[in-house]
Amino acid sequence: MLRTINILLVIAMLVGAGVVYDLKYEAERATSKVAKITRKIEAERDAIATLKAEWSLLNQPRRLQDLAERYHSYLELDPLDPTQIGTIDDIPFKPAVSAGDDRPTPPKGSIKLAQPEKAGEKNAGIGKLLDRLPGHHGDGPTTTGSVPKAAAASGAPMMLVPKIVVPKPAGDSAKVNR
Amino acid sequence: MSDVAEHAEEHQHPEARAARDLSASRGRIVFAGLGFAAVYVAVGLKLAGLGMASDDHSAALASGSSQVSTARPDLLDRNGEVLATDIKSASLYAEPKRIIDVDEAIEALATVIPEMRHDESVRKKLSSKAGFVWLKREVTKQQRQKIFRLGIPGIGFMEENRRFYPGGALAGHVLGTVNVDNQGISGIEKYIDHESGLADLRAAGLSTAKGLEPRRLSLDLRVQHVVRDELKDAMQRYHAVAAIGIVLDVRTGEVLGMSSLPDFDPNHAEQALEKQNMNRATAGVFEMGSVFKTFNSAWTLDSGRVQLTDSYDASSSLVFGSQKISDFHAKGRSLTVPEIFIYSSNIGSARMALKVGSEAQRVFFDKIAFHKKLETELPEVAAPLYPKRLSEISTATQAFGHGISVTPMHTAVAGAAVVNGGRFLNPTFFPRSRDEAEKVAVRVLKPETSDKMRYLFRLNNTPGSGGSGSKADVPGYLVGGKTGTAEKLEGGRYSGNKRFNSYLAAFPMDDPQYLVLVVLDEPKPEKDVGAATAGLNAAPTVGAIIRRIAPMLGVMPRYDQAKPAVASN
Repeated sequence: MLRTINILLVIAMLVGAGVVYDLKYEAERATSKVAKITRKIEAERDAIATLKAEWSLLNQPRRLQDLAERYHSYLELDPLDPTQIGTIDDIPFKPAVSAGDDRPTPPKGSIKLAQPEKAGEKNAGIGKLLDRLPGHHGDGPTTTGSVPKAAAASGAPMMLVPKIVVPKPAGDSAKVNR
Repeated sequence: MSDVAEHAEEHQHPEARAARDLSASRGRIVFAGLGFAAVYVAVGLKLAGLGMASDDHSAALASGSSQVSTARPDLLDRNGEVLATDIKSASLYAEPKRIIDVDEAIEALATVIPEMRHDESVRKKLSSKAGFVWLKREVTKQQRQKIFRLGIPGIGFMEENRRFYPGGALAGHVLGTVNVDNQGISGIEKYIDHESGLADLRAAGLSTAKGLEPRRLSLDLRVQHVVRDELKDAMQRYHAVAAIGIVLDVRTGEVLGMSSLPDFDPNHAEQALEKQNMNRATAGVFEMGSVFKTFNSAWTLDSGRVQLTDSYDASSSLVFGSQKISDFHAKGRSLTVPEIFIYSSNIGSARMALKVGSEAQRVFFDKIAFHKKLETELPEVAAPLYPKRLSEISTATQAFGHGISVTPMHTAVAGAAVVNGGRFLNPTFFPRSRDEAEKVAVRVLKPETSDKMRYLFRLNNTPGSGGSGSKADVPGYLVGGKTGTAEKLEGGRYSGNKRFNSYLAAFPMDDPQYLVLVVLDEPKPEKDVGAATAGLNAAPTVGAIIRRIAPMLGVMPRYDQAKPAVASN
């Protein structure tokens, strides 16, 4: 009887020791894993900070202005003139019968949706947008130019805009309809 | 078992011997037992110690990077663009005591950083007996990896935080600089250290890397750029020695842009120490000249003793003993109050001030902080210089901005109070909402006076009115403003050809939102233009700034607008 108990106790002790050893080992492994991940997060965070700094360095108005001036012949980006700014209200309604335009009529309210927000309603909004818009280089009625550009600017990346505006000979109406 | 043996012995041997043996062996047993117990306790303690100890090495590595360097919060502009940030950079250090062969170490390092081969200072450092020396601050990632692979004993890297200003000199005077330990020593950098208690934490030996929320400023990166760009242009075109530009939100007192040229790049903090690069916008005091007629008209009209329809004799100079006040654009007749304003008549302004009295002038100047330092976040603020004693002559000269020196920021802030409905707001470099501004605003003028002043401002700017500011007009934005052409004091005398020109403008004049102040120090006339008055250089600069910033700030141009309603009387 006593012997059985003793044997059982010895076995229990051995098992206990094994389990504890395993737990300890597991814990150590987890700790080093945590430390490793923490280090990785730290490194990533630093990398993000560096990239952010680089981004703002590349995005400095000074630099952008220099680039716009240097590649003016290609980009044709000019400073915005106050006369080029218009609101949705400046656009005349589309005539009921559109001659020569075989495209299906857009659903109601699409123009309103295309306009990111009513100009002047929010202080920073329109300013920010207009700031990024490419200069309008046509000499036609200026308010017409702002709408499709604003729409394009709200969705597509800004850099794409100048490339779309390449066909120069096209008149103002073509620009509006694009 | 031993008990059994002892019992057996008791039966085999005589009593006395058994008792002796028993006492002897009991002593030994107790001794051995104690010995074993001690060993077990020691083992147990060690086990407990090991169990509680953490993984030292990894933990040290993980926290090491945050312990070495001191971190600062990022500074952002009002739209979240980065103005100042921390970047981690690795610096190369050596522990000369641990270096086995100096020549070999230098040879190996030179494969990565070639200039080290012939650098005597490196050799000297490595051969010294010092425990720790810096070899090169800020090495690139690639260099770092290569040196790491060389595996030179006694050479290591430490990560440091370095303050980086992506805009360079763009907003140097506002942001300020940090020292080599990344502590703010000027500008907003200094302010946030004190305000957030960072300085105290550091003094206590703590430097937290995490949990530093980025701080948003009221500056607008784009506006700041435009101001600086146009000032730079103007400085070149008019060969000015210095230029100052300030853009304020008149409704909240927020500073959207502030530039003082020549300036410095905070990435090279030593440039900030050069005297010519000082911050003239808040830390320099000047006799602002005729822009003061704005404030003169404001307080005299506010007193009710001067009306817009009044006329004052400006046909002859005003004489005070040995001193004489005369007009630059003399008309030789009596002028109405609006005429005095747009022709910038010194005589008329002086007469207006004298009519209401020195005491009232002093009270008003007190209210708009012309007699004390501005309360703002920037540590570099200068106190105005003004005559301590009231006298007729000082009242007369202060009416047109001589005999009193204030900072350009004082002028801008007072100008904002004149056009925003008469509420004085201390300038701030941090965002302030309209409601918050309402709480801290102090009424200094009646709203009606502000209306009249806006009329005068706009009148002075309207092309065709003969006003001195017509060159600042931007169609669509209803700009209004006042010129100032002050002669500079040189050796106690006013110099005829050294000027201090300024233009104080706000737009749109029917509901002023933003104020722009441009000051040019010693501008020279352009080639084919004979004069160098403020209307010819400061005003066009203001116009150019407004043309560019108004769309950014969301001010809609209006073309069909009639002239602002003239105040009754």
